[in-house]
Amino acid sequence: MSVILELSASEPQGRVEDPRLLTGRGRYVDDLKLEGQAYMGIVRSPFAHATIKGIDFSKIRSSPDFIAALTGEDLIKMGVTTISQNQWPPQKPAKRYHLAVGRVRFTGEPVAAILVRRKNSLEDLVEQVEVDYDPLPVVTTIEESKKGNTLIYEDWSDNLSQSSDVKWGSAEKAIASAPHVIRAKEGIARQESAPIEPRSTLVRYKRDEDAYEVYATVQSVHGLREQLASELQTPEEKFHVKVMDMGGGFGSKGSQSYPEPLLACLFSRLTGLPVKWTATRTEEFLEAASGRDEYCDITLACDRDGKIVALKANVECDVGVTGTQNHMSQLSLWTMLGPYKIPNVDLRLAVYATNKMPLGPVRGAGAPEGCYFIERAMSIMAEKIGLDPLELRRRNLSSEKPRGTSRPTGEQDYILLIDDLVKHSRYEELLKWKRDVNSRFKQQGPSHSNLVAGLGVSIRGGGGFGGGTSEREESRGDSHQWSSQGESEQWQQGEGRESQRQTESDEWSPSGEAGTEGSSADLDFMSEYARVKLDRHGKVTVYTGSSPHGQGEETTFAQLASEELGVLLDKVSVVWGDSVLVPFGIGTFGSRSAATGGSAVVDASRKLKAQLFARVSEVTGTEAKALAIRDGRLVNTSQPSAQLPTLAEILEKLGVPDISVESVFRLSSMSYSSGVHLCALTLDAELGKVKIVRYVVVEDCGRVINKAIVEGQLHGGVVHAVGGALFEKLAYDDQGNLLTGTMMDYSIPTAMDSPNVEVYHEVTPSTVTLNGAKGVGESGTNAGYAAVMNALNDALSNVRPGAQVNIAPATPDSIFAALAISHHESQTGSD
Amino acid sequence: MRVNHKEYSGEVEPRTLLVNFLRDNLNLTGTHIGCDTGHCGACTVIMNDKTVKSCMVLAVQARDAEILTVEGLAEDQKKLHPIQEAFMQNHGLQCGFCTPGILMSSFFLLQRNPRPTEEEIRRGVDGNLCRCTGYVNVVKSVRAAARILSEGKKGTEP
Repeated sequence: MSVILELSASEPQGRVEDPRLLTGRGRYVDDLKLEGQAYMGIVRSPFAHATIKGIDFSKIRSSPDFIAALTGEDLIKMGVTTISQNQWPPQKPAKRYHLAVGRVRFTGEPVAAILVRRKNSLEDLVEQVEVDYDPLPVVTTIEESKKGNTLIYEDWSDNLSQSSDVKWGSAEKAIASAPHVIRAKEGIARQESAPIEPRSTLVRYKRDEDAYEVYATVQSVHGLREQLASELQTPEEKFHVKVMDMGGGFGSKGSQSYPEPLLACLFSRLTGLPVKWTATRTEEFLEAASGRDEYCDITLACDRDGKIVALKANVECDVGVTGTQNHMSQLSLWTMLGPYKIPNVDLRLAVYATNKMPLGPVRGAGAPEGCYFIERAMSIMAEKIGLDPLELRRRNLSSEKPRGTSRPTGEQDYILLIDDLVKHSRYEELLKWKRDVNSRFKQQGPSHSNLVAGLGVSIRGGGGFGGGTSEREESRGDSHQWSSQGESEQWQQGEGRESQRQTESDEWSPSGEAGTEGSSADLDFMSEYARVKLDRHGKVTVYTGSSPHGQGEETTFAQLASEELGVLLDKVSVVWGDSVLVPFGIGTFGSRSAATGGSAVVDASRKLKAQLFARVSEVTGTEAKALAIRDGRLVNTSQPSAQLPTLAEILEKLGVPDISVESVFRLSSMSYSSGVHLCALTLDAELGKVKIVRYVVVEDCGRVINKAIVEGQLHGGVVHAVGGALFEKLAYDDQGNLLTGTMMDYSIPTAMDSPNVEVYHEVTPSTVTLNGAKGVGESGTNAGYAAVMNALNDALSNVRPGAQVNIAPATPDSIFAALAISHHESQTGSD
Repeated sequence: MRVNHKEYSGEVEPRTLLVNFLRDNLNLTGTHIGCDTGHCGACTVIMNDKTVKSCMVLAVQARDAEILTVEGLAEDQKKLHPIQEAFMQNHGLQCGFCTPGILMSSFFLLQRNPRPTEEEIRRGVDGNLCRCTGYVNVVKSVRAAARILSEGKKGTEP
């Protein structure tokens, strides 16, 4: 079933973007300097919950460096109201302000902004702003939030921000009569995206045009344009938003509405000066959206053959003060259905507000959590019934493609993926290795070793949201909780964009005058904008609404256009990250760019070629069907010796300098890759130190456009999960103070911590994307948590039966705590 | 101080960090700031033949020092240094933000140890955080660079 699509253009060695990034010529926002720029600083709350009684700038007003100051009250006077909040999924609206008004609700919340002349004086002056606070009781846990003694928002009746459920069949009944039932409480702590580049923005207000030039670190230029336009009540065309090279995002630079770009716009408008702001790392930890913080009480039931008969779960999420985007835990619910066919399902979600910074998407955005919950439960079940964890999964998966074509979610063969994993990981040898290591641990005397070994596997289902199969659609029948349209449509509707229209400009469109029918309103999560232009020198320019920041789309999108148009790769350049050069776009997040953005590039390229050939046919009389472009030259395939005019001659005859076609391409369904992961690790039972010995991934991301880039995404994705499973935790004290405000306290994996991730491929091209690719950017992270935690718990059970760490990260202290508890339990006989 | 073989002088406030002097005064923006506390290594430069995190050094401490930044790594500005070439050939970078620091640490490592083992490479770049690559291709790139530098062979791994 695996098909390798032939590439007409061979995969390049190295990326287009590499030379500038390797020589220090990359341009990140903080590298930019505008003549006379001033520096913005943010005064942040030291309290997690307090009333603001007064803000006093008198100490800094006399400083020669002081230019201006703003408070929340000033913003209201200027007509700026609350921070935008996506309306999907349904949730209570939270009255959050760019600068706090009356009350602060999390440590680090912006309270005031100041503008100063010199960078060196910025922190001095921020420190001298005096804010009078009256502390209020603080809510830092889901438990306290549930009690509702203290409300995060005065206009809410309780602290529940959103709730939902997914149900079909009768889980309760199936569990009661099942021979094998496991129940576990699993969770992932609050964690950070932590791109190495902190957020930054630079704004120049142009008085004569009453317009703003905005440079910012965002994953969506058009998203920021929309937010600024809406929050400043100014038409979109007044904002020229540009993203430069960007030092990673991982969700934290996604579509959140952060206060700083708006504040920089206001300061620039007020003073006429260009305004620069760059976050310190501590500001990143205090404010840049963190993720996870989800906990799940899960019950899984199997029949005698190891077939899952029911899944029941209560998921709770600590969303902090709630953010711009609050869809992550909803995605967890869908993801935790896994790739399995489960006849009885009862999943409930409750999302609670606390006095912590707003939650937001972090690589995977809810999918790692959902995958972690179900895949931990599967491995716990396998251990309970004495089955190999891969065997239990095999029994619940199928190699058949699902019937029906409503959602091409079954575009992989899970059994084949597992077979590959067994082969490439040399699974039998690993099992023997594990037995050997663990027998040395159990031995006394000189041959004793402190190391125990563990193996863990996990599966990330592919397809659309939740990796559903058509069987599931059938099995859930007329579930009252889900619309019959399926999750993808729900998502789309949730975005508030119901247009099903696929806008294309098929019209002949010379010289970039492409009469686009598209607009931002036609774009949603499942679509992207592209324009492809061919000039008389045979040079191709691709304009994309995607916004790469490490994903290498300058290279892969050039590959796609080169392949479609038959021009050499070095004749293609890619333009992105500029709201004027690229009028519409969605951006780069959610593993969507190769699938949506790449399809739009293919669509525009194909239409461009068709238009060109139609014109050539008119001019030369050659049948359009017989025309092709080879190495940038027009050829007549039925008469290869025939002389055809060059591109320049054709365009000259038509009287245009170039031709260009736009596409707003919308997928009928999202298309995500699937993967099977295996982690082999050792745990030093004395030190609590974990070492990952091997990490193997078998992935089916459909067509692999650029192998190096795809594998790079998987390597980084897996290591992100390794950090999340073993080290990363944003810790707060009981007063809501962030205890992990630097990279010393919040540790992301170093080279010494990271495994040499091995990646193998199966290729089942997607049928919904025009290039056959499926989204892969988050896949490594999604499956990684469960693989590592399953391996760790396997190792722990060899130290003491029953010892488990259920909340990631499994730091040494939680490992010791688990060993101590199980030791205590076994001594008191309660286990 | 000498930076990338050129003499520079300037007056700075005593508390100015070397990284800010390089970026703001000399406009050498290839050296990046990722964490302000010396943990991420994006600001790594070579100072008097040793790597330093330039956010942990005051500009005045670098008085009369010899500094090498990513901009000065390739002697011929039109070509890549073999280490840069190896990173390009082996996809050793994604967003590129940590890359200048990783290149400088790799340069330092390979000067001291021209044939490092995988363990030694990992230790050599342990002070540089990268959130994109998972270090798999960073290690591969440094290994390839070692081969190019010591044997003059092509930098692509089979």
